[in-house]
This record gives sequence, structure tokens and C-alpha cells, in this order.
Amino acid sequence: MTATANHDRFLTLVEAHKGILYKVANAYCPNREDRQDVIQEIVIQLWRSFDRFDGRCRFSTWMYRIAVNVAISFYRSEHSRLHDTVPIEEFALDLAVADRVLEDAGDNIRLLYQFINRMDELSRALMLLYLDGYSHEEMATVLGISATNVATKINRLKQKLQRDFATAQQT
Amino acid sequence: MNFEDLQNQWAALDQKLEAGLRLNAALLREAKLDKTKSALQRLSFFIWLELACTLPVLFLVGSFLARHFSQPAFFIPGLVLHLAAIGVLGSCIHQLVLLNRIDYAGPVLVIQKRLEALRLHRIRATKWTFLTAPLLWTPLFVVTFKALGVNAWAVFPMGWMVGNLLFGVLVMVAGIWVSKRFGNRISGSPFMKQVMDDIAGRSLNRAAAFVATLAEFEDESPAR
Repeated sequence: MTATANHDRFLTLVEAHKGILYKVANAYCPNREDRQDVIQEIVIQLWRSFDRFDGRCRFSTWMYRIAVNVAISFYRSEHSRLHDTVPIEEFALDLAVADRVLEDAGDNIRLLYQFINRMDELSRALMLLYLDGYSHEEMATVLGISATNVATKINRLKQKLQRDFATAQQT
Repeated sequence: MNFEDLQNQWAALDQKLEAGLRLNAALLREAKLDKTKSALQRLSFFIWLELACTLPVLFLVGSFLARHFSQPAFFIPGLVLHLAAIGVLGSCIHQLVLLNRIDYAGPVLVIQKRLEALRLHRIRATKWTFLTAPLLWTPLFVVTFKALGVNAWAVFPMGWMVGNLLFGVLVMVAGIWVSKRFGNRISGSPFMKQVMDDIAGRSLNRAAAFVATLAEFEDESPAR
């Protein structure tokens, strides 16, 4: 495959799953400027690893792995800015539109994002994958734990969310 | 809260996001992704730079040691510097090996463990560099002067030399105190803040806490 064809295939696949970029960035970076940076780093890492994508799993599953790894790494490095990498104000995604979509979403979704932001780094990933409807096996592949462990953790997270929603509704 | 409802609302949001988000393919093409620098690449560059600076030092001090093998007054300070350079070299190689094992497409837990191992190593390296640097000042002074043909032991009084060593210890202790006492207030430069956190041990504590989180996440025990 030529370099241009490979590039085009990459862009088509990323375009088809671009929501993952925003959802992962939003779960790990409450600050919009940080979201921009993390999306930029995710896209770069996706492109760097694209040659090794062998199609054994769905592209979206593979994309989630990279996105979550980059986002956690970014989050752990205490939000070091990446302005010196690519001097582009809006890197590939127009976040203003996505932010408006989120602002217009119902109270439940806004609360949900607040609760996700309070979870530890790995539970956030698990919650995003669960909400996106991935199977326990797929979640296990992304995170590198057993499917049984995924099931246990999802149950715990659901119970915790139930309690958080109940508390929020009371107040 | 019904989780099926929540998943449906999430799916609706997802559809709106997919429809609303515009991926600027032209911008991505212009960005020349092959040439963009990622965080890991930048880290790798600085480690290679450190390695490139350490190798000549190792060679020069090694030659100095060979020339002054029978003169403990110069051999010992040279040996101290040589050991420090070997330490830096070993640390750089170890970091490059760890860095090479990181592939973001791998399972999250595996990759995060590797990244944390790298972070722990880097924090320890920064901490030890800053703690030992003041103590290396006197050996560096002796070796540099001797390399220029001056015997520092003969030119400077012994009290002055011992005073320098003690000053090194004092600077080290003061450095730790300042980083613990004022580290949090130094926010002007992210780099300085990071260095202060590394010296004070805050970074190490955070890294250890994350390692514990990873271990806990891997734990298959039933719900607590």
C-alpha cells in the first residue's frame, strides 16, 4: 500500500471513530486546552502505531487502547503542555462543537461525566468502554485484565454510580 | 438510575458527537504526522543527549585515572567522578531500554506499569543527581585543576578543601529543605516544580500511589 493510500485509510478510520478522541480526552482532561493537547498526542500515537494494526480486533478497540494509554500518561505527567510540538490552534477536531453538544446533553450525562472525572484513571477507561457497549472480553483486551475481573469491577462501578446519582438527586 | 437508560442517553450523545465533530483531514495532512514530535520521542531525545554528553566525560576521566593510578590524591577524586559518570550512563541506558518497551497499542495495565517504571526511574535519577551534585564539586575541582597542570592540594589550603566538601553537604541539605518547604509555591516554571517535587519525594509518593492503584485494579478478589 502506498504512503498516501495508507494515510487515507488511517484518516477514514479515525474519522469513523472520532468520537472516541473527544470522549477519552473529556474523561481525563476537564480543561479544554488540555483536551486539545491530549487529542493531538493521541492522533500522533495512533498514526505511529497504525502500521502495526493487524485487524485482529476492531479498529475502535485498538483506538481505545491507544487513546486511554496516552490520556492516562498525559494525566499522570501533570498536564505538561505540548504547545511546542505542532503549532496548530485547533488540532484536527473542532472541540467547540463537541463542547456545545455536551452542554446541551441532559442532566444525567453531565452528572455522569462529573462522576467519571472523580474515578481513578483505570476505572474511567472501564466506564467509557462499558457505556460504549463493549463486551467484557473486549474491555479485558483493552485493559489487560481478565473478563471476570472486568465483570466484578463493572458491578462495583455501577453500584457506586447508583449511590452517586441517588445522592445528587437528594441534594 | 437505570443503566440501560443511561447507556441509551450515552449512545444518543455519541451520535450527536459523531455528527457534530469535524475532523479536519486537510489539517492532519498538513501536520505531517510522521514528523511530529510526541512526548516519548522528546524524552528519548533528552536521554540520548545526556548519553552523548556523558560518554566524553567517561573517556576523559578514564584517561585521567590511568595517568594518575599511583597518586591517590588525584586517583580517588577521579574515581568518584568516574563512578558518577558510570551511574549516569547506566541510568540513561536503563531509561532507553524502558522507553523502547513502550508501545501505546499494548494493554493499558501493561503499558501503564512500564510508563510508571520509567517515571520512577527518572524521579530517582533526578533526585540522586541533585543530591550528589554538590558533593562532586570538590573532586571535579581537583581533577580539572590537575588536568590543567595545577595541583589543587598544593595550591589551596587543606582547610579550604575540607570547607568545600562541607559546603557541598550543606547545599545538599539546604536543597532538600527548600524543596520540601517551598516546592509547592514554585509554580512559575513547570520544570522547576517537577524538579522540586522529585527532590522532596512528592513525585515518588504519587508514583507509588499509582503503582498501588494498578495493583489494586489487577486484583481479582470479589467486591469489598
